[in-house]
Amino acid sequence: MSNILMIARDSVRALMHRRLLLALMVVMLILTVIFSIVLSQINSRIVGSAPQPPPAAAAVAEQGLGAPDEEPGTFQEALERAQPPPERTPTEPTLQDMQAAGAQMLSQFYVFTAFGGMVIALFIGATAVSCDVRSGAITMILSRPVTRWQFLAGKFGGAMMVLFGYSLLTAIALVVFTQIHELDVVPALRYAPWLMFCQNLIYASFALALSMLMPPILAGILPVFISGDLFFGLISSENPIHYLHFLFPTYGPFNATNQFASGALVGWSEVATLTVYALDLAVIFLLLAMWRFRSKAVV
Amino acid sequence: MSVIRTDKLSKTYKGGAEALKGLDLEVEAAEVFGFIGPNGAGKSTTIQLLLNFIRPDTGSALLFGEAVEATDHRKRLGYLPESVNLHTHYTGRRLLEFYAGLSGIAAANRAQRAEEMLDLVSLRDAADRRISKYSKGMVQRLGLAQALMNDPELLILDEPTSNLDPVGRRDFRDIVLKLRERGKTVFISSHILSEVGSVCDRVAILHNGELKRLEDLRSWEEVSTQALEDLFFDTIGGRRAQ
Repeated sequence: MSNILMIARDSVRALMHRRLLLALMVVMLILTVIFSIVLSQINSRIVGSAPQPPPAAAAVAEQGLGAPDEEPGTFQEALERAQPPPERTPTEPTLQDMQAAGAQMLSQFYVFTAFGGMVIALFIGATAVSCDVRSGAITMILSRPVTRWQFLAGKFGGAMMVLFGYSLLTAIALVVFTQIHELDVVPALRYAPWLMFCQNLIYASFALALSMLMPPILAGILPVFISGDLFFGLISSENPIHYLHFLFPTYGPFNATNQFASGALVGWSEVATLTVYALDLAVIFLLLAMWRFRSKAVV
Repeated sequence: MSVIRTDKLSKTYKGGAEALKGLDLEVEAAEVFGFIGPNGAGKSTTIQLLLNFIRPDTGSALLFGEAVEATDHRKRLGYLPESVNLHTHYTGRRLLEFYAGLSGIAAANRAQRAEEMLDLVSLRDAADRRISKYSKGMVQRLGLAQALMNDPELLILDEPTSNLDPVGRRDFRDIVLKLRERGKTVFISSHILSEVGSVCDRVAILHNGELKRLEDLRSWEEVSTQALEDLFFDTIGGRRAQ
């Protein structure tokens, strides 16, 4: 166990010194700031274009009666003109619009960070072992009393730590984002980062398993395209390839974007189910990776 | 008991290159064993098979009487690869402590052991410098230090002096001789005959994946580089440069 922890810790340290990964994170940070500024401007525009509350009805009525060049009208007509429709208060539509726009912003922000998480997960998964094999550093570790299983588990553990850290940062960023833009905290905010972590766990483990069979660049790209979501539309059809939907990992349910937009709340039981699904897949991919790694040449 | 034993060990790479053809080898405890041969003779392949980095096609290999797939015997083993690739995000000291941890050395003793090894390879001054700033020779010396961290009973060295300057080579020779005095087994793969001749008790000459000759240098009255070169070229059938 201590070997796994030591390798995991070393793996995190190595990842933090990987220039490409750091560059990716810095780019994500810069884009996040730019994105936040742009959204802030959109937010201001929405607030600016919102209809102003009308002047007090009595004052308007007074103006209507008092101004000689205006159309003549009774006090009652002026009062009716000044008053909003009885079923809607003057501020209600504006708030709803802003809430919808806010949820949309949050959703876009989440999509953006989730995409970054996916790229990082694929990068880490595809290079976790292959990089050490290519550099030859793996031989220094495997000549120690360390089994290949411990090495692989340690590498995956390190990847999990980094991905968890990214999800944690995303959660903090989402909270800060909602505070800065004075958005309502939608229910999806409570679980979206965790679902993103689970999704990235699948991506990373899938890429790790594929990296045992093919070059890392391919292993980092294929998991995006080998997805059960592609065959979802065929489920109701008679086409036998719809079974691939159940065979390949499905990422759709982990995407909390729609819940952000609709303000819907996914139950904790569904979150738990998705967590088990992600862990299940991660373990399967890890076992497949191990099956290949145990007899793989490491030089 | 043999520390290293191979039985009809063979390996053919993809593409049909036969790297090793039925190698039978035994290395006894407390001897310094030279494994020499020209480039492509199968020296590195043998070491990779002994350390289970690759799998043989046929035959078997044992270390301390255990199959090489086992991991227990690696607590008694030190290894320095031909091309030393260390984790460059560490400092020298931290790297040695990391490998000490993997070797099962108690946390309380790691720092002290790392200090001793840094002294041994004359890297104390650079101990807290990041490895990415080390020269090739320094990396090689640190590689030797990590191989010795767990005070191994068997040290496997693959072209150990390839990046060392004359001072480094002399230091290396002194270290190996000290290890021999302490009863350690050292397996050196090299094609530098003078280096092998100065420290080894026995040498095996490998050529085209086959063991051509096994020679006990302890029975020689004088081990000179010249005599070793003659033996080497006679064995592999090559011509010496005039």
